[in-house]
Amino acid sequence: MRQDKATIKFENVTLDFEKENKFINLNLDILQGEKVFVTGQNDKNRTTLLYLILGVAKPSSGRVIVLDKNLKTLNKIKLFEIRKKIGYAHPQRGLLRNITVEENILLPARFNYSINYDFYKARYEKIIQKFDLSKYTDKLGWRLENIIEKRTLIARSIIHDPDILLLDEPTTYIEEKDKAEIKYLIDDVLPKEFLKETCSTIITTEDDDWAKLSADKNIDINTK
Amino acid sequence: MINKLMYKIGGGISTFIEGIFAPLNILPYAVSALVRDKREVRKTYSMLFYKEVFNVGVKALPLSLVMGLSIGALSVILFPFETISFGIDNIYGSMYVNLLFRETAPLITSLIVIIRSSIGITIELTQMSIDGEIDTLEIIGINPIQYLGSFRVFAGFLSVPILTIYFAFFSLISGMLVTYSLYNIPMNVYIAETLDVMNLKDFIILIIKTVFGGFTIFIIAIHNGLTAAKDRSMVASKTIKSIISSIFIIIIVNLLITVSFYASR
Repeated sequence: MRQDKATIKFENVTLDFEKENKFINLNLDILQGEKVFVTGQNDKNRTTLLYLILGVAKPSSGRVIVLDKNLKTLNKIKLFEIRKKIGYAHPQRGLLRNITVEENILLPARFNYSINYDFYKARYEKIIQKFDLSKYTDKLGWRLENIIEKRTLIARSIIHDPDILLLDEPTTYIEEKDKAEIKYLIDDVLPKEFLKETCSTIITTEDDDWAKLSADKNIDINTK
Repeated sequence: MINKLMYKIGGGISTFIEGIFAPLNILPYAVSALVRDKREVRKTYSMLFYKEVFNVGVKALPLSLVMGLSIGALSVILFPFETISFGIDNIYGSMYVNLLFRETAPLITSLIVIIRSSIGITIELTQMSIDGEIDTLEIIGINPIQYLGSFRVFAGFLSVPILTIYFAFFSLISGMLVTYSLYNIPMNVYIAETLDVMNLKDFIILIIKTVFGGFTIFIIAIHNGLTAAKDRSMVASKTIKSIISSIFIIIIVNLLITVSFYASR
């Protein structure tokens, strides 16, 4: 059931990276079920915000709290446990190159023993059907066209029914004609068919119009 | 000044110790994943494990066969049995057990595995590190050691002893055939002499050496592959490092085991 409970909290987060202040005293609450767009000129800064949520980037000061856990206090194993509850779709080149599309999609669920085996097998069948990936399941990761790679990346990010979904630049590196298809998947198919009501979705994009149209909340990192 | 120096030395020591023991994390992962796989009727881990056993063990059988046959035959051909007997009655059996079974078989098998598997694993994992695939696994919450390392170590653990016994068996067969054709020693006499010299202790020590060998070779290869920086030159440097460290450790440990178990006789 959707509640006004924050799944992600940034408390006075400052990040200095390569002698540059990326964020200064960033305060942010992302609630359960909220769809948040991160916009702004610098794509690296947009991605860094997601890396802070994943615990890949560590804040220079302040706290990042994800699913009630302060990431700074977690060891590597506990950090992996948190990441298992998050779905992340890379902007590109995020697939393992020498395994098939099927193996790539099932990857987050395979070693996640909190997910029922029958549940993720059924979910996989539904995903490849809705994402129109049936023809490509046996193809290796390095042999895919950009749009197929993009769909596979998004499919992989939702296979384990995440509590938080992070979509990093989902409409970049693909042709203009394919952008509408990806937007349709994210705006319509994911919330209706695959995401639980409490799943918070964070999308980084340079497409301000899409953000204005679809976002529950918009974070412009230029102003942060 | 002294504080800084002590801090640096302490840091260096702790990094060194951590570096040595970090690869040992692989083992609990392997065991727990296999048990969970079995309990939850999944084939995730077992599938990778069997595939690796096939790659490390089954695919190495032809090379192991050829090496076993040729080294078994050559040792009989080259050894001057007519002039040297060291005062030993059954020289043929003694030579096989002391030279081939105890020492050569584990060493040559380890070298075969280093050439076939260790190089391949180091290159594959280093390439994955360079391409960012290791980072990808970490980002989606999969420990790379669990996904890429643990089943390989387990496969090495199982395959190397079996390959060594396979090698030892075929070197015995070829030694027996050559002894028969060169010195006219009946095959049953050769076997009887060999069994007379060999005892359970030899077999147990062979297993200890090979289990350690399999474990070491794979841990070194995986550790080097996973710790590679994102730099193309890493492929060559990490592979060379893997080969040299594995060979060095295998030789030293084999020597130490032999000395500690047999030197007092």
